[in-house]
Formats: sequence, structure tokens, C-alpha cells
Amino acid sequence: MTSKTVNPKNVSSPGYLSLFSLFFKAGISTFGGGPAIIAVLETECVTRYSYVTDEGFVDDVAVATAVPGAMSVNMAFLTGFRIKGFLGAIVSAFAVILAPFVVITSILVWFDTLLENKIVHKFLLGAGAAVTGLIAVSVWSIGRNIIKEFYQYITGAVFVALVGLKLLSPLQGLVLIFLFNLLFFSRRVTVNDDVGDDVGDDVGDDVDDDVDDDVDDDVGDDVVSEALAEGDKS
Amino acid sequence: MNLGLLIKLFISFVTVGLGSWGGGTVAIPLIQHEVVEVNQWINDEEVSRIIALSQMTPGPIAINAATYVGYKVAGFPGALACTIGVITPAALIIFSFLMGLKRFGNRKLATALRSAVSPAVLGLIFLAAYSIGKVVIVNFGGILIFILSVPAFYYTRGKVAPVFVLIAFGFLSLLFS
Repeated sequence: MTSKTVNPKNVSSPGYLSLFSLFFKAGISTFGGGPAIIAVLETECVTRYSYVTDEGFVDDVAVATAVPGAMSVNMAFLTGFRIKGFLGAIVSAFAVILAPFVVITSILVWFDTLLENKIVHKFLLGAGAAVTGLIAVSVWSIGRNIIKEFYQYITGAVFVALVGLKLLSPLQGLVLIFLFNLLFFSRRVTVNDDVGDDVGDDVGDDVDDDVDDDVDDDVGDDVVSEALAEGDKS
Repeated sequence: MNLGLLIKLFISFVTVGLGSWGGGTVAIPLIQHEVVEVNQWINDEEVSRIIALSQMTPGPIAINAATYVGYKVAGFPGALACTIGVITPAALIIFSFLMGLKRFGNRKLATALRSAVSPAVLGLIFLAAYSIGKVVIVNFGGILIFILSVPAFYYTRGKVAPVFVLIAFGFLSLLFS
């Protein structure tokens, strides 16, 4: 595992069964909707098991937002791939979908009035309220490791304002803040040599000129092929 | 089983999956268009029911809706066809993206791009808490659960899977009115 040398944090790799169990539990945890999966995966894959670094995780969230589809399924594909290659991605996505699939079909087949049941309703609302607490802790944890510069606090707040007030869609806000930061703060971007598992430049061609000053001295390794090799090996 | 109907369900939800850039809120009108207006599989009332269902049960709205509509129209095979359909576009796009990365691996560039995008990513996660909270925190009990859950998740981080803490809070909420 070559990435071990550049990324000492990323030391462990689970079997497919534990990967399935991890994402199945994550799928059940999304009371209140798909985006809750971000907090669950951050807690489990980054903090608890160190399968994924903070940096790699942020990349995956950005990519999951930038492609169409449900956040939780996209995150399962990307994080599963990062942990265990293509088969890992398929296993993770299947595991994440299984819980909602079973819940909805069961409700339709057996418990049509289940949600009208006061106790079930209360339980789901309570679990949903706790999901917001989980996400709050996760925001703190990711932010602590990822947000380092003053301009990042400001542009992060601007994003929350623009998207929260529904002036922009999440994707539009993401692209706007991304391009704005590249344009005005590209010289201040944190270049950290220790960072290992990068998902790279999906928009690289457009922004190459803006960040050239910071990056032209090093054409980096092909980190994804490392990830692929890891996946194949296991 | 009517194969033609299954294919129709599948294609319909491929359209939903392909169009839902930006998640659930974008998916709702697309689902409504496909299953109510174009195909008349279910009515508006049922769409509202799916939305209410999705906001409480685990899982993203697109998957919940696909399973619901598919099952209603064509039983278990229908549920399967719709669910696979709705994730197919994302799967193809993500896999071609990951393949494409093999050709553009540049660590420092990636770090530079990440510094630019991470404030928005963090904002996105923050807003997820807000949008979920807006729906599920409806009374004083909800506020209390939220306040208690922050230290609970903080101190169980790295020790307990979040799902068990969530279930514990689900039961705890039964004690409140």
C-alpha cells in the first residue's frame, strides 16, 4: 500500500462484510433524509476507523454534490470506492439503499397505518431531532480540520446565507464559492504535502491558470491508481 | 410480469436520477412530473405522502419515491426496477469520473481546489442540519433532544455507531409529550 507512506492516517481497510455492515447502519441512520449520511460517514469512516482522511472526505462531499442523484447513494459510491475500489463502491451503495428499500416496501405491504401510530411518529421525530445534533458535531469536526484561513470562514458564511435563503441552489452556491475562492485567494491556498488520498481536479482544465503559481512545481502522483491498486489487492 | 411496464418504470426513474442535480428538493418536482403528470401512476396526494414519509423514515427521497411508486405499480419487481433506475445515472457518472481521474492525478492541484471548495462543503453540511431540523423539531421535546444529542454524539464519537445513539434518542423521545 504505497499511500501508507504519504498518508499515515489511512492505515486500515475493512473486509467487504464490515463495509456492508458499516454502510447498512449508515443507511438506517438517515432519519430525516439523505444528507444526514455525511455526518454518519464522517463519524464512522474518518473519526472512528480512519478509513478515509478529512481531505479525501471533503473531496467526496464536493463531488457527490456536483453530480446528480441522491446524496447518500453518491456518498456510498465515492466513499466505498475510496475504501475498497469498484466492488467496494457497489457493496456500499447496495447497503445504503437496502434499509430505505425494506422500510418503504414493509410500510406498503404490512403497515399502511404505521406512520399514523403516535408512538412510531414520536420515535421518528426524536431520532430525526438527534440527527441534527449529529450533523452539528460533524460540522465542528470537519471544520476544525479543513477550514484554516480567514477567507474560508467568510466565504463559508456567504454560502450558508445564499443557499439558506434559497437565492441559489446548493450546486450553484458550491460552484460560485469555489470559483470565487480560486480567483481571489488561490495564492493563499494551503498546500499540505502530507495529504495523501486526493480526488483531484474535476474542473482542472478551467482553473489551471488560476492556481498555476501554487502547483506547477509538482506534477503529483496518480493517487487514484493507488486507490485502485489497494482495492484490487484486497 | 409485464416487462414493458418494468422498462417504462425504469426509464422514468432514470430521468429522475439524471435530473436531480442538488438532491431531494430538486428531485420532488421531477418525480411529480414523471409519475403524476406523464404516467399517472399515482396522484398528487400520494406524492405528498411520499414526501412526508421520506422526511421521517431513513433514506433519501428519490429512493423512497422510487420504491413506493415501483411497488404500487408493479409489485416487488417494479420497486426494484425503479430503485435501480434512479441510481443508474449517478453510478455511471461517478464511475466515469473516477476513471477519468486516473488521467488527471495532481496532488497539489487537488489540494488547491479543495481549499477553495471546502467552505461551501461545510456550509452544505450545516444547511442539511437546518433543513432536517426544520421538519423534525416541532416541539420542546425536539429542542431538548437536539441539545442533549450534541454532547452525546461528541462523547461517543469513535466508540459507538451513530445509528445506536439515534435509536436511543428515538426511544427517549417517547418519554416527552
